[in-house]
Amino acid sequence: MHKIKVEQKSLDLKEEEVIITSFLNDLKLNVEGRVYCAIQKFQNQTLEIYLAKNSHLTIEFLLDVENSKNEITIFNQENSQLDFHYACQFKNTNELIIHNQIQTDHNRNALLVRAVENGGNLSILATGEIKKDTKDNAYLEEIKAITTYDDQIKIKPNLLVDANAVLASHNATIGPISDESLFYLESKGLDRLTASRLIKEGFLKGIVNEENFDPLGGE
Amino acid sequence: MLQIKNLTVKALDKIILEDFSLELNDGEIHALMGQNGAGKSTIAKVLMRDKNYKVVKGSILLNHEDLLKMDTTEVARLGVFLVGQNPVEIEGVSNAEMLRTTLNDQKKNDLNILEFNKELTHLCEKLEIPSSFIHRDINYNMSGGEKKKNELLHMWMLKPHFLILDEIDSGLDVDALKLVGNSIKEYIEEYHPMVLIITHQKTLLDIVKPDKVHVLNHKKIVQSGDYLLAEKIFKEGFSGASIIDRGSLDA
Repeated sequence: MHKIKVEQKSLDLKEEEVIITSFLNDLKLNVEGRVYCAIQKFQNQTLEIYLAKNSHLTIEFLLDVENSKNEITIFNQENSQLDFHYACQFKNTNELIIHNQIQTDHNRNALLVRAVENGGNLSILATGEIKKDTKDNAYLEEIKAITTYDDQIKIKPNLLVDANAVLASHNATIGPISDESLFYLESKGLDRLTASRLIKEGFLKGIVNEENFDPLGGE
Repeated sequence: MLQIKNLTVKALDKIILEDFSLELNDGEIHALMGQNGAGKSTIAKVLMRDKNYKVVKGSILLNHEDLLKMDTTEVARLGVFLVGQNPVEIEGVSNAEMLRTTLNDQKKNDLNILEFNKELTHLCEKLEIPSSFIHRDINYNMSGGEKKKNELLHMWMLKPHFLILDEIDSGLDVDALKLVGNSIKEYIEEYHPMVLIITHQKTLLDIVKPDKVHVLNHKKIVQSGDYLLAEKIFKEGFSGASIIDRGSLDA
């Protein structure tokens, strides 16, 4: 696994595992073959992902965001696979826009988004678009958010399916930390704040490979 | 020493326990039995200060400290440890992370990590669970038996003085039940905690012999006795056990 700081507008990834520590305002990722990519920083930026034919991308984000508008657009070429895991803790006002367009056949995309409020608002607009005359595509969109303060989380999951031979589903969940989980950790001797922190961090780390990221909150 | 006096408890506006009294001396093992829905688990939750259960009357003193003035964390830090019927799964929080954080708090950030890891590895061997459990998320995707062993892993690490075992034997196969029972027995022999066992089964009480057995019915303890009472219940059911009168034993 190598770390890279991207200073150009476009990056080609082929059969490799990389950690992107930073990139410019816009980045176009061209993926070929089997690729793993961890994005460590993503703040007011735009990311375009192009999956070549027969490619398989696992892309992970573990982020602390604040006053941020992030946009991600994904395009699949035939027979490609995407495992998209986006986990963030957010402060102040934030927006995340994800658009996945599938215009070809035999693609498998799973988009998991997890967000934890750390005193702020977040609006998520996630759109999965499966175009007409495509076949044998599978698309899953799962967005979960934990809210702990009085601020707002808005999730707008869109599924625009214009083809028949497709398996598509999406779901969104917003809720506080379960009382049962808090009680359990408190019954082991943790105070409420520490228990909440562990649960929130665990919720985010559950979908990424933690080793490839800096600790949240600059610990 | 635990002293519960005339406790009345409500949950969802319904009285679950009424005028419930129980006393455990240091190092004693008590078993609490009763039919389903009698309120046995309620007492476990109340002792652990679960906010869903409101105490409307009575008192609970643990070593002369008022438990009702404490929250769950404070009770746990006094050395009270509850193993529930269905231990909660917490995705993303590993056993090691939780135990390290708790013990670090207890030891004021003076936890020896090498010793900590060594002890965990040794305990995994003892409980016949893979050492990978150390870094697995708490009870997450574990079988019923694995969850109970995982809870015992926590018990051995946290070394509580008062164990509340709420049907720890439910859902265990014969071998797992023996292992769990023997591990609890070994812990009792080593650390001499007070123990409150809530159970429907004989096997656990055969391994961990209680000093006293109580039967809960109609929201309070209606009968108390020694292990013979449990044997009678196992043989004849709760109705058959009514020959033992609580008043005469208390006298």
